[in-house]
Amino acid sequence: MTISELITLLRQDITQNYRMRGAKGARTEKKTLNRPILWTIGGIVVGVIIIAAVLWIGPIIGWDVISQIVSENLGLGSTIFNAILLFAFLGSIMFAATTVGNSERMEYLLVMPVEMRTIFMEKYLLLIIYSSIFWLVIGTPIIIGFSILAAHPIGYLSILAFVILVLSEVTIGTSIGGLLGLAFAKVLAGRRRLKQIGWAIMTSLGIVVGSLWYASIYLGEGAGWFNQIIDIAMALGFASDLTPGYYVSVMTLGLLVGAPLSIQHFFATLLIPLSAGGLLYLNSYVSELAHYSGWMRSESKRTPKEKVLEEHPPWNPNPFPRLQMSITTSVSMWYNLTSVKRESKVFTQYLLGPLRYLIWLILPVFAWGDELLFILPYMLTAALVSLAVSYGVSFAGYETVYEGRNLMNLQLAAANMSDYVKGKVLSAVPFTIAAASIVGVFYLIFLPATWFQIPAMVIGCIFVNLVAGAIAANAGASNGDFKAERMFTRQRGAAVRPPIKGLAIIKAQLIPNAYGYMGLFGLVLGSTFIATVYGLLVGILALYLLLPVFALISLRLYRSYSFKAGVKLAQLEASEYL
Amino acid sequence: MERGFAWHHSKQPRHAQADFEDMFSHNCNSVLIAASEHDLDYWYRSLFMDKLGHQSGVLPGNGTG
Repeated sequence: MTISELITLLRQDITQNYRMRGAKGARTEKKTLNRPILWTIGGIVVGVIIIAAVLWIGPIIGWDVISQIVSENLGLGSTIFNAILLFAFLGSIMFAATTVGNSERMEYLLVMPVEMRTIFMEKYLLLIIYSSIFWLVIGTPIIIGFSILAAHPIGYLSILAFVILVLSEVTIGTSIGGLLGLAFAKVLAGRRRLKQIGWAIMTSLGIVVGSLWYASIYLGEGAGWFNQIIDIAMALGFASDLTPGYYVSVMTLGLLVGAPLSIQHFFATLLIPLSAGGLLYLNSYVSELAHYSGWMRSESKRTPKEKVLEEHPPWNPNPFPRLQMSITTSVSMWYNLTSVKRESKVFTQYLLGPLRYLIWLILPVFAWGDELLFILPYMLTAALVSLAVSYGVSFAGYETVYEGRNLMNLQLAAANMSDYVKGKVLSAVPFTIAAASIVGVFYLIFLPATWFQIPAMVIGCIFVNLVAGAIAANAGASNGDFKAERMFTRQRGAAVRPPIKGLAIIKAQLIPNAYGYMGLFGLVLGSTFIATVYGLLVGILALYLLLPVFALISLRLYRSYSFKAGVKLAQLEASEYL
Repeated sequence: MERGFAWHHSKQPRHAQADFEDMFSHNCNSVLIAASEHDLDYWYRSLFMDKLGHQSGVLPGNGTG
């Protein structure tokens, strides 16, 4: 490994190959110069403003006061400096496990006549630069401002100390995170099922914790969370004297105010950049090792040398039991289920995604307690409708649009496209039944008096789901971006387009929701009213007489929208999406 | 007389070294390396000086001997 190789690589990556004007072409990745120039100018402006602010506010408080406060507690900034380390650590775990790993870009880089560890080290250096730029842009001007105020020569050394130490801290965080990510990669190497389960757990945790987080802010406990985080940080020893952040703080602030620094402090601080360098090298070494051991291997796209005969029973998908459907519909249904199930991330997103807004429907009841208990049935009904609509939109709407590359096949297969759409819509039904049943159980627990309405709700929900799916598929077929790809692994930094855009997705969400609310609320309110006026039996009778009417209307809508969607799909120019 | 191989490997130093040592142990004295424009622009030193000059005791030629 030579420094010149490292610098060449860094220069290639940082200066890149910018164009003065936006390069045309669907596949070009050439970027314009505007963005880097704007960011640089923005950074300089922010820096100048911060320096000016420090120089303006500093004399008002008085340098003597500031200097005295800082001298008395040189570990003042340890929490912030430790937080910088923690952020770098958290951000780099995924980076190491995915990007530094054998991505296709890496494979291209590795044909260069440079040692692999040089290339990996360069990637980590780049990550370090990007992770520390924020802290440097904000922090350096503050230190510059104060060292101008301090007006003694040693004070200016604090600027250098700050820059070096922050870079070292970010390096330590990034390297430890990277090693952890590599450890994950080692554990998960070649274990598809474990990886999928991991993704499912992480995704559902993300959704649930995220919803609860926003809910807690909504419920007015926002500040509480923040204090708790500070408490946790303190408990973890973030302000302790034995952390890197403490020594960074002591060194930077000590130089700033010209406090006497012990030789012990000096050596402890020297240890930070040294260990940063060591960890960085270790990281690139382990990355190289990982590459040679195949921890990061992506699935091969080359055809094997020997012909591999895959033996499996002929695929003969069955329709739902006791349900007449064409072969196209049943094939479409099972194909849809299989392709959604393939990526546990996608599957979890589709199934648990609605929790994000369902929580808003249920929350008011828990937030205000008994006074609002009377609206609980309506909230639960609304939740049911939202679930059904959301499943319809994802399983039928999105999945129809993700069919882009497959569109030509479908058209050439002379499959009945309406039947194909119907299959997609039907694939959401089992999940709707399951989710609706779970909500139904809640219903029974909170409002046992409504027991007679629950089966009707669940059944009504299925029909709402059918209508929602067909309408979403129609919206997708007419206004979907068939170039969109369902690549959850590439969602960071890469263009993953929303499948259905603009008004179409609003329509696909609003119309079925409105229909579902009207239908199910009509059934609930109507039957409750009749039951209170004419007695329970008449109420039940009326409900289960009205339900088939609702079902029939829904089926008509489902058929007509599936037909429309099918016709639109058949008319698309499929060659554009190959 | 020149005896040698055309070498189209990934140019990774550790593979290069092993390959060249293998070639020289079989009494070869020349290697034809396929290099791209990018290699020559950015990696001339890494490709020829470091790999051939230092590691294997062979100096780069221009193909004519």
